[in-house]
Amino acid sequence: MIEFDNVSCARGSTLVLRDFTLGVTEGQVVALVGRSGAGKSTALKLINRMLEPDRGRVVVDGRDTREWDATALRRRTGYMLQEVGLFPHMTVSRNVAVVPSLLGWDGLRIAARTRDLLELVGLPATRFAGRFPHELSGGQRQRVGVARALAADPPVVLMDEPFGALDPVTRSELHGVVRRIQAAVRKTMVLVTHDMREAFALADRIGVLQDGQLVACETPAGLERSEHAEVRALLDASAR
Amino acid sequence: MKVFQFWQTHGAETARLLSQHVGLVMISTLVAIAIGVPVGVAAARRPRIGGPLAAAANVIQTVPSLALFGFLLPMPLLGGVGARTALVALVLYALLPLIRTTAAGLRSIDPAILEAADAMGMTGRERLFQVELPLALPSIIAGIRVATVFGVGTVTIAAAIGAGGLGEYIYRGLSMVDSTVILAGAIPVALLALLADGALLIVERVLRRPASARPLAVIVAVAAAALLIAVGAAAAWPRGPRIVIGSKNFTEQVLLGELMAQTIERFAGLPVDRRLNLGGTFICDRALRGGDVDLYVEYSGTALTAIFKQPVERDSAAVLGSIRTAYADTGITMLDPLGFNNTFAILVRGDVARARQLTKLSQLPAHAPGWRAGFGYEFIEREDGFRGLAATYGLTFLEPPRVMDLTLIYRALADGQVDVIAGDATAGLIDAMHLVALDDDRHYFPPYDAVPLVRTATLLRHPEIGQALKRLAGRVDAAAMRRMNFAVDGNHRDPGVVVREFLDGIQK
Repeated sequence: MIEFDNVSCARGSTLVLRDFTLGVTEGQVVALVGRSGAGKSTALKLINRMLEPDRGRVVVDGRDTREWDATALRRRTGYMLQEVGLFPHMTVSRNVAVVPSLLGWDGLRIAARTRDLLELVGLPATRFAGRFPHELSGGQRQRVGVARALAADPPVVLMDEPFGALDPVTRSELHGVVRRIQAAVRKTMVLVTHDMREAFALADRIGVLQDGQLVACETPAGLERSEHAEVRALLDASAR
Repeated sequence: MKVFQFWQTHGAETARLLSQHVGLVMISTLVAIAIGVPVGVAAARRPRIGGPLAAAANVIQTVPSLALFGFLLPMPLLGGVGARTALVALVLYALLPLIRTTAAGLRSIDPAILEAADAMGMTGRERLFQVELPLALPSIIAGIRVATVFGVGTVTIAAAIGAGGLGEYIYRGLSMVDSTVILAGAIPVALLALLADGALLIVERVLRRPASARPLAVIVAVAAAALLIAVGAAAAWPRGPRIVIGSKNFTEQVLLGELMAQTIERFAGLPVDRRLNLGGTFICDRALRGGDVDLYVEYSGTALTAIFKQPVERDSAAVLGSIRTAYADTGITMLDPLGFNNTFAILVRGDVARARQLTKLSQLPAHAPGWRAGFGYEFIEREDGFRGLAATYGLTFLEPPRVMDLTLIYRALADGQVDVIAGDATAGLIDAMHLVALDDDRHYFPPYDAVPLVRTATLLRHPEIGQALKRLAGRVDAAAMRRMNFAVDGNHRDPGVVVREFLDGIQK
C-alpha cells in the first residue's frame, strides 16, 4: 500500500530523513515514534505529497507519489494534525463535509455521511452539527478532526500527533474511538507520535526514528524486547 | 433652522445630489474592491509582485485630492470634467486601504488551517475562496470601511470638477458666502460618513464573531448595500445624449449657466445636464475644448487676456472680433453678447450722486479732492486698475485709497466710511445698498461682455440651440444681472427660480 524506498529528504539545508525504508501493508496501523525533530512528520507528509523526496521514492498504491496528481492523492488520503486545523468559519458538519464536497458528492449523500461519522466519533449530529469549532472543547474538536479525516472514506489515513494536547482521560477515550473505527472499516493508517503509550495503544507495528533514520521497526511486543538505546529511552520516558 | 427650510425648498435637488454622492462612493468602492482585493492577494502571496503595487498605492494616498484631480483633468480617457475623473481618483484612493487590509487579513490566518486545507486536497483556488478569503473577510471589510468613509469626504471635493454630489452645495455656499447652503451640503456629508462607518463597523464586528446568527446579518447588510448601489448608480450614470452646460464657481456664473440651461430646455426642447460651479476659467475652458461641456458663458476681456494671452484692449467691438476669430479656430462658436458688461464699476452713494448730479466718471475729479476712496487689493495692483484710472481722469483723493476686503467694501461705502469704491458692475449689492455706478465715459476699463461659447460641433448637430439662445442676445442688461445676483446673494433665493422669473419676464 505505502512504501518508502531509501528516501532522503531535506528541509532547508538540514537532512531530516536519511535512507528511510519502510513498507505499510493494507489495513495495517503503523506508528512512527521519536523525539521532536526526528523526521516523523516529514515522513508523513511524503505520503500525500505535501513534500517530495530528494532521493529515493515513495510509492502509494503502486505509483510513485510524484506521478500522482497531488490534489487527487490528497483527497483519497485522510489527514489530521495536532492543531486539528478545523476551519473556524464553518460549522462542524461543513468541516466534516469538506473533502466530499471537493469530490463533488451530492448533497444528500454528504448529509448522510456526515451524520454517520459524527455518531461514529461520539458527537450526535442533532447536537453538534450546527456548532462552530470555537464552541467545542479540545477533545470534541479532535473528534471532529477524526471524522473529517475519514469523511470521504479514504483508503489511507495519516495522523500527525493527533491527540498530543489532550488530557489522559480524553486521550484514551479517543484511542477507543480510533480502535472502534479500525475494527469496523480497516484503514491503512500511519500515525506519528512522541508518546510510546499511544503507539502501543493503536499500532500493529511501531517504527522508531532517530535523527532521520529508522532505528527499529517491530511489533509492540518485539519492540519491548529491543536493546537499542533510543528505544529504551523512549520506553522509559513513557513508563514514568 | 434655515437649513431645514433650504432642504424643504430644494428637496428634489438635495435628493439628486445625495444619490449622486452615494452613487459615486459606491461605484468607486466596488471598482476598488475588484482591483484592490486581487492585488492584496498577490501582495500576500508574492511580495515581489504585490509589494511594488502596494507601495504605488501608498504614494497615491499622499497626493492631496485637489492636486490629483488637477493632474487627472488633462489626461485622455481617464480625465476630463465630470464623474469619470472623480471615479478614477476615488478608486486610486480606495486601493491602498483595500490592498493593505486584504494582505494583512490573509497573512494573519493560522498556518495550521492552511496546512489542513492543503492536506484536504484543496487546489489553490479552492483554498483561496473557501478558506482564505472568508477568514480574511473581516479585515477586508475594515479596509472597505476606511475606503468608503474616505470616499464620502473626497467626493465632496470632486464637485469642483463637476462630478456632482453634495459638495456642490458646499462650493455654492462658499461662493455665495452663505453658511446655510454650506451646511445644507456639509451636514448630509457628515451624516453619510458616520452612517457608512457605523454600518460597516457592525458588519465587521458581526463577521469577526463566528456566531450562528451571522448569515442573516450579512444578508441584510449586502441587501442594503445593493439597494444603495442601485439607487446611486441609477442617479449617477449618464442617460442618453444631453447638452452639458458648465459655469464657473460664483453666483453670477451659476445664474448664467442656469439661464443657458433653462433657455435650451424651454425653447429648444433638449435635455440638459448642469455642470455648474466648475472652478475657475481654466477648468471651464479645458472642459469646453475637451468636449466635456458643450457650452458656458465667458467674459470677453477674460477670454482675450487669460485664455488667448493677448494684451489688454479697451475697445469692446475689437475685443469681441478678435476672440470670435480665435475661438472659431479651435472649434468653438461665440454667440452674440448677452448685453451686460461685468467690468469694474466706480460707485458712489445714490443720495450723493443725486445731490451733485453725478453720472459720469469725468465729473468725479471736481469732487475727489474732498473724498476718500476704498479699493480692493487687486484693483490697486492690476494693470487696468487704480493707477491708470487716476491718470485717465486726473483723480486725486483726500488721502491715499484704503485697501479693503471686497466683501466689506460695499458696506463701507453705504456706511459713509469712504465716498468712492471700485466694485463689480453687476454686484447685487449695488441696488440693495442704493449705490450708483458712474459711467466710464472715457472707456478706461477693458470690456468684460458676457458671451455664450458653444462647441461648433454641438451647434451643427442641434441648430435649435443657436435659435434658442438668440432670444437672449442683448436682453440681459447690467441692471437685470444685478437684480438676479441680489436675489440669490442678498435674498438667498434659488438660482433656478430667479432665472425662471427672468425668462418669464422677457418672454412677455
